[in-house]
Amino acid sequence: MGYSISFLSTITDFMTFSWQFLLDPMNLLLMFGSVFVGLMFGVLPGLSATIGIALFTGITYGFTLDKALVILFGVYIGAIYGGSVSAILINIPGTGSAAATCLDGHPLAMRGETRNANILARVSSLIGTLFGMLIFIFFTPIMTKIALQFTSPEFFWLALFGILICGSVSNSDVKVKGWIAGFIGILMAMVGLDDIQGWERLTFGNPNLITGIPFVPMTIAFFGIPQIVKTMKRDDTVRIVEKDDAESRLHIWKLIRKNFLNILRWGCIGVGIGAIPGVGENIAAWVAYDDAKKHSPERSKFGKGVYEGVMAPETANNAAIGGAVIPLISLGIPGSPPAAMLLAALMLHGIKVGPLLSIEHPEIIPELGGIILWGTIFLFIVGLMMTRFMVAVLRVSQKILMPVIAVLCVVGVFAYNNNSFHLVLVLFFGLIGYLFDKMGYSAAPLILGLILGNLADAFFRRALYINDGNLLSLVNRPISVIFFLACVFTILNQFNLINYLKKQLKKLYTQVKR
Amino acid sequence: MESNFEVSGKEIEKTETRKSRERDYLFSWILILGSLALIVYANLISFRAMQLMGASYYTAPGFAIMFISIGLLVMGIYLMLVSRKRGATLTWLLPGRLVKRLKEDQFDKTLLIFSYLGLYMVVFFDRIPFTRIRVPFWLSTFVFLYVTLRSFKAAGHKASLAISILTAGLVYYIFRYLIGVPLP
Repeated sequence: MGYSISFLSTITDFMTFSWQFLLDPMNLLLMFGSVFVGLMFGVLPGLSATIGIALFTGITYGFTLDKALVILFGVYIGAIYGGSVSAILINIPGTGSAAATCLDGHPLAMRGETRNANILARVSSLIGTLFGMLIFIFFTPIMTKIALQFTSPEFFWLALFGILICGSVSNSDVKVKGWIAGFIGILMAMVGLDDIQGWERLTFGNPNLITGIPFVPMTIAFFGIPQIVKTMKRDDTVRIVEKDDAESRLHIWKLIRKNFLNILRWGCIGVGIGAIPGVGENIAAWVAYDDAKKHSPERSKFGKGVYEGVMAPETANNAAIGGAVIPLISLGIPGSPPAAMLLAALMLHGIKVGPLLSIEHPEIIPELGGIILWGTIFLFIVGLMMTRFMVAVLRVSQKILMPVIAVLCVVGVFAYNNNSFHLVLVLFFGLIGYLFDKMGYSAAPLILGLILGNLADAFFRRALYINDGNLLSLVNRPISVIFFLACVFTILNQFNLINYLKKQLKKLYTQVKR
Repeated sequence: MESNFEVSGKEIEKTETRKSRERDYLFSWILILGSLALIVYANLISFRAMQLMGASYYTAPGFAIMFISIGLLVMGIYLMLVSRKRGATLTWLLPGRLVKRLKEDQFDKTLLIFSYLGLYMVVFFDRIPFTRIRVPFWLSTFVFLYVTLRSFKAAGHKASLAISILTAGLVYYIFRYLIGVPLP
C-alpha cells in the first residue's frame, strides 16, 4: 500500500515537473545549448562526457541547482549520443561507450547508409535514455538493493564476462585473433601500479607508465591512427556516396517492432550494468552488442553493417545513464565516470547525495527524471538537425577529411590530460594498431580488454585476499554463481560447443527411443 | 568462362591470403617468445612480492600477467600451427624479398604519414627538433595540414591552403576560447 502511494506521488511529481520545465523558456534554451555542446564533446575524439561535465561544473556554479542540473545532464546525454556520430562517420569513437558502435555503424556508412545509421543511433539512444529514466524514477530503491549485493567475486565475474566477449566481437577468419587482441588489451591494462599491493608492473623503469596506459588516447591510437593511415595511403580519392533509393530507405518502426523484445533486453543490460557502481556505459555497450549477435539469425553478418549492431550498443549505453544515476542518488556512489563528475557537481551545489537525499529532497528523483526526459527529446531534435550536416561531411573526400581528423585526435589527446607522453603513446600504439589492422586483428576486443583487464585482476585478487586464498569463495553467492554460469555459457557458445552438445543429446535421444 | 577481371581479382585475393598467413606466422613467433618472456617476468615479480609482502601466489601481482601470458602462449602456438598448415613460411623476411614486399605494401607512404604525425606531435607539444624554436599551435597545424594535403595529392594548392587556414583557425578558436583548453 505504502509503495503504491509513493509510486503514484512520484508519477504526479514527475509529470508536474516535466510540465513546469516546458513553461520556462530559460530551461528550454539551456537544455538545447547543453545538449548541442555535449554532442560536440562526444563527436570530437579525445573529449568525452566526463570532460564535458567537468568543464561545465565550474560554469554552473553561478546558476541555481535546477538550472545547473539541466546543463550538466544536457551535456551528459548529448555526449553519450555524440560518440556514435564520429564512430559511424569516420570509424573513430568519440567516446569510449561508442567503440562498439564502430563495428557496424561505420560499415553501414561505407555502404552509403550514413543517414540510416544515424537515425538508428538516434532512435536507439532515445529509447535507451527513456528506458533508463523510467527505471530510475520507479525502481531506484530496488535497483539500489541489488547493486549493493555486488562484492569482489561478483565484480570479478562481471569483468571476466566482458572479457570473454572478445572472441565474438572479432570478425577475423581465424577466430582466435579476437581473443589474442583481447588478451593483449588486458596486459596493457596491467601496466602501472597494481591496485592491491601498489607493485609496479610492466613499466620497464619508465616513470611515465606508473599511472598506466590511459584508455582515451588508446581509442584514438587503435581506431583513429590506422584509419588515417589507411585512407591517406589510397591512390584514389575516397568519397562515400549516400544511397537515396527506395530500397535503402530505413523502416524504423518496422525494425523497432521486430526488435521490441531485444530492445527491452538491451535496455535492461544498460540500466543493470550502469547501476553497478564503477562499471559504466562502456561495458554496457559491449555486453549488449554481444547479446545482439548471440540472438541474431544473421550472426555472420555482424561487423559488416547490421542495423542491430548499432541499435544494441546505443540503446544500452544511453540506458546506462539512468542506471548510473541510481547508485549516485541513493548511495552517493557513481555508476560511471561521468556520474562521478556529476557527484562532484552536486556537492559543489551543496547537495549531500546518499540514502538521506530522497528524504531531505523528495523532489530530486522526479525532477531528475523530468530533466532526463527533456534532455532526450532535445537530443532527438538536435540529432535530427545534425543529420544533414553529417551526410554532407561524408561527401567531402576522405583524403581531405583525415588530416583534419588527425589534428583533432592530437588536440583531443592533449586536452585529455595535457601530458606529452600520451602523444608518444598514441604514436607508438597507433603504429601497432595499424600493423594489427593489416594482420586482421580488430581493435574492438583490444579496447575491451584494456577497459576490463585491471578490473578483473583487482577484484579477483581482492576476493582471494578477503577469503584467505579460497577459490571456492568466488562462487559461494547466488549472484556470483549466475555470473559464473554466464561465463561458462559464453565460452561454450564461442567454441560452438553448445550446438555440438545439442546434436549429441539429440542423437542419444533418438538411439534411446529406438 | 571466367572474365580477365574475375581471374585477376581472384589472384589478388589469393596473394593477400598468402601474405596474411605469412604475417600470422611471424606474429605467432613474436607471441610465443613474448609470452614466454612475460611468464618469466610475472613469476619473478610474484616471488619477490611473496618474499617482501607475504602475499600468496594467487594474490601476488604477477599472477594475472602469468595467467594471461599462458593464454597468449597457447593461442600463439595455435596460430603458428594453423598458418604453418596453410603453407606459411618466413622466407619473405630474406632481404631481397622483404624489400619487394615493403614496396608492394607502400611502406614509403606509411613511413611518411607516421613521420608527419610524429613531427607534428613533437612540434605541437615541445619545439622543432634540434632547435630551441617553439611554434604556436595555429602555425604547426597549418603547416602539418598543408604539407599532408599536398604530399598525398588530396587537394590542389589553393584548396589545401584554404582548408589548412580554416581548420587551424577554427580548431584554435573552439578549443582555446569555447572549450577553454590552453593550446600552445
